[in-house]
Amino acid sequence: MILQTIGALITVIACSVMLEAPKKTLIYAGLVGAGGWLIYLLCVNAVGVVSATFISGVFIALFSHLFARMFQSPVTVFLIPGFIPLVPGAGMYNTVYQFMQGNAALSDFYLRQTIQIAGMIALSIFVIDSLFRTHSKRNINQS
Amino acid sequence: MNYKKLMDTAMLAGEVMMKSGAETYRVEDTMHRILRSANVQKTEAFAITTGIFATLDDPAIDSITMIRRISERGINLNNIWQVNQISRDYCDGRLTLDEAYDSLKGIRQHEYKHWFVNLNIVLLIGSFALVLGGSLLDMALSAIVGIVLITAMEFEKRYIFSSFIKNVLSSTCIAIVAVGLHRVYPAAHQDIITIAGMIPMVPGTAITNAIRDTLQGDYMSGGAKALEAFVIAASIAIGVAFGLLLLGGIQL
Repeated sequence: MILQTIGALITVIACSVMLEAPKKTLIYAGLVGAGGWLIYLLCVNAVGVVSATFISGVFIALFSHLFARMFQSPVTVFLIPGFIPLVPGAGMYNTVYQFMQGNAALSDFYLRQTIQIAGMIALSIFVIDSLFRTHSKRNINQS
Repeated sequence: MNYKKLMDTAMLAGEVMMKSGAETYRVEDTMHRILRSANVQKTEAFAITTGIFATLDDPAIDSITMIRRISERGINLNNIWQVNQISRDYCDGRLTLDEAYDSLKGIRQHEYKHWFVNLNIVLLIGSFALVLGGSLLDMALSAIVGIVLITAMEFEKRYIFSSFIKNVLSSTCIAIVAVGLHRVYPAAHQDIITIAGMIPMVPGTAITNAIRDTLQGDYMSGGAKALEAFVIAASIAIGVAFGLLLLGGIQL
């Protein structure tokens, strides 16, 4: 688990470099991603892949917004690299692999799971974005 | 106030952000903030994935409208960040219009050297094998896949222009190398190596932006990005399937 979390840290930082993120936010983006993956690992056995994705997604989106406000930077800088470990690459591969093997039922299962995971990523970003938007709207009205 | 220059600044800011893969509403918001600094009666900024539009109108002046077509799109978080800083500084009065325009013009295209980005792609693939629960052997083999992927991408950059074909070809290479390495080292996990190899191409940015644009009410951009994500996913799937078939990684 420790090895996986360290792996996630390096993954997210390397991904940030690939997407040409600014230098001073690299390490924070890495922390967001690694924290999210640790939470995923802690939850996955208890609640299953799909719910674990949601919980970890909420964490990643929340901290992306917090860091973005701290550094006065666009949220995207943290959000996109942070979600990379959660993106359902494994689901995609398994769908194709099982389909090619002729296991239609398993392929269907993985396809459904992939779509559910993508949906959960969407939902978690939706929730946190909406939360922060009502908050910032109130601030504008006050000033 | 030089309205023409103001328009140019806003359009340039929007163009750089759109080309760098920012969310549509953020592009509109930035352009609008810059335009509003003129205190004219009517300012409009409108952006979709393929172009940006802006209008400035006031009884005192001739109205100005500009359109710019965005034909190339990539991802460059650093450019988004820099435009954000500049527009913030300008709107808070820390930069004059000319300074803002010049610094927008001076935004560097690349934050990192080319070899350093490539090194990080290898690192990304290697460490993702660990994330998936692979062993150190898987990590080393994935790094080899990463080197192959970079070679393939350099080749594609020169000779192939359709991004769909690029993705298909890259993922075919990944699948072939992964199956081959699995033959040589049966202890390694073929699935982990392949999935780690796909990660640099997986449409994470498209998915995230699609969601955020849709939430903001930009259904056109959101829908376009969602479709883009789907097409990329399909191209990767086709490539992997093709690679598996070629090397007989599966029995039909």
